[in-house]
Amino acid sequence: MDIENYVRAGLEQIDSGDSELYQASVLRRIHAMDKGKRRWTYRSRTVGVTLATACAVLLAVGGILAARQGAMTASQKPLSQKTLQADMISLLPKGSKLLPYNPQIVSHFKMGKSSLVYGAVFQNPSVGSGIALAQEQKGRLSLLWTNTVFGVPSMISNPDLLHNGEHELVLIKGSPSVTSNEKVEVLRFTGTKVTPILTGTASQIDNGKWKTGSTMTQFAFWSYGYGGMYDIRMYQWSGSKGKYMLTPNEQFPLYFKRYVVPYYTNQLYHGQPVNRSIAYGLSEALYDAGQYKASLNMINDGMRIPWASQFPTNMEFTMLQKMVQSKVRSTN
Amino acid sequence: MSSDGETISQLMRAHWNGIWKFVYTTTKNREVANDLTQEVFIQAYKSLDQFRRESSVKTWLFRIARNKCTDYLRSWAFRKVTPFSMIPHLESPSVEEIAIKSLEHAAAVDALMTLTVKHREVVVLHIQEDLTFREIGEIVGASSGTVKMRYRRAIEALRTELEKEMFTGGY
Repeated sequence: MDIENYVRAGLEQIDSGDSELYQASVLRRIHAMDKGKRRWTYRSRTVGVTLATACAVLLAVGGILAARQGAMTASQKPLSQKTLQADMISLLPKGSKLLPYNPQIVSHFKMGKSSLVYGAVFQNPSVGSGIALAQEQKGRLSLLWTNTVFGVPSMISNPDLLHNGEHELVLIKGSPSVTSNEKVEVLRFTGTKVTPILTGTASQIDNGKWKTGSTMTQFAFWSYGYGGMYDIRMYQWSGSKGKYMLTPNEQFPLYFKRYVVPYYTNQLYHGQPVNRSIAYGLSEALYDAGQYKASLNMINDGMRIPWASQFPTNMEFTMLQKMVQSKVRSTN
Repeated sequence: MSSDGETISQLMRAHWNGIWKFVYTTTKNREVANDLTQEVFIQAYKSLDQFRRESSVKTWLFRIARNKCTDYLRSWAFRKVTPFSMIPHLESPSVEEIAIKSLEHAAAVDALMTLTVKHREVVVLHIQEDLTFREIGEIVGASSGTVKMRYRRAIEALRTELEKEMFTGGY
């Protein structure tokens, strides 16, 4: 038997699917990067289409520390790099070293309503690496916030994330992508204090107002699992705690109905091949969308897909089924 | 689009299928192959200026692909994923389709999927991409002698697997 030719013929028969669609997706991303608008929204085809066309505002995190320089007024003219670096070093733990960051070592940007804030990433042999934020007071810097738990962010931007006329700071660690969930932290500046208001891990973030009567933007963190399935976590502003808190998905039926159910439906009926994780994801999304009957039907269909011993197993499906049935009983 | 973007566009036209199949046979998951192949070209775009031309563009791309696969195989996501995700479609294929599939390629691909990742990647890169053992060595970070050894062992394992299939009436 000519093994090599046999294997070659076998490999040639493998169909790589909608390659043009995926290539177009890559080119769109490259185009966005070319324009300096690195959208942190990339995911596999269906979500890309669903969210980009129908969803609310997707979080763009391409801007970096120095990107806001043009927005500053003459009275907010930044201090010289030399002064800034010397000041910043003096505020950090002994032995700290500032790291170059795009391309200045100490960058400046607007936070809050229009405050000028200085930022630098640093390395310290004792406390580790991190980011420091400072504010100018009488010609000298004073430390606002420092953090070494998060580490050195790979992307920093300061959009008006909450759509309230103020600028927040978004820190991202690593390089988020479809198979890579990364740490995200959003910082808010009240004029005197920097506070973390949202912390999580995601491969994509969606934000918008999906609850009737809500005044504050809500966030959906899509965290990649496996086989096209995402763990979706919803965050809602808590006035009493002064930050975003994880909120049960069931409180956002509109979001799940509009965006999550269509994603899984598309994957299930147009994706190749059908798999249990997509069926499980859809069952869960239908539950969160309040469509209990459809969820139960999907659970039954999902349990009939082969490879029942692999995750999600029929036990997982059964647990979800019990939860949905319990909900149906309590609502009747 | 920038000239770098044009370059990536050309690279995708030339190498998309090869990279996709390499990623697919390594990860055994079509969805992941779709995602990681995109990541390979995005990574290539970001690193174009670091490409030193010490190796061919093709070797460079496959090295990126291999790194992406390695990251994936080490991730928690993989450890929970179905080990062999060629799950049949809900709509049952016709008897004729099943017969054609099993005769033409399923046995070869199934046998390939039984190999270890190190053996599988060498087979795909050599047989599908016609890369030399030296070029494969650059991609997988091993000497050409090691690659050649892995390839021989892989072919022997494939032969054993396929012969076993024949005797048990697999095709």
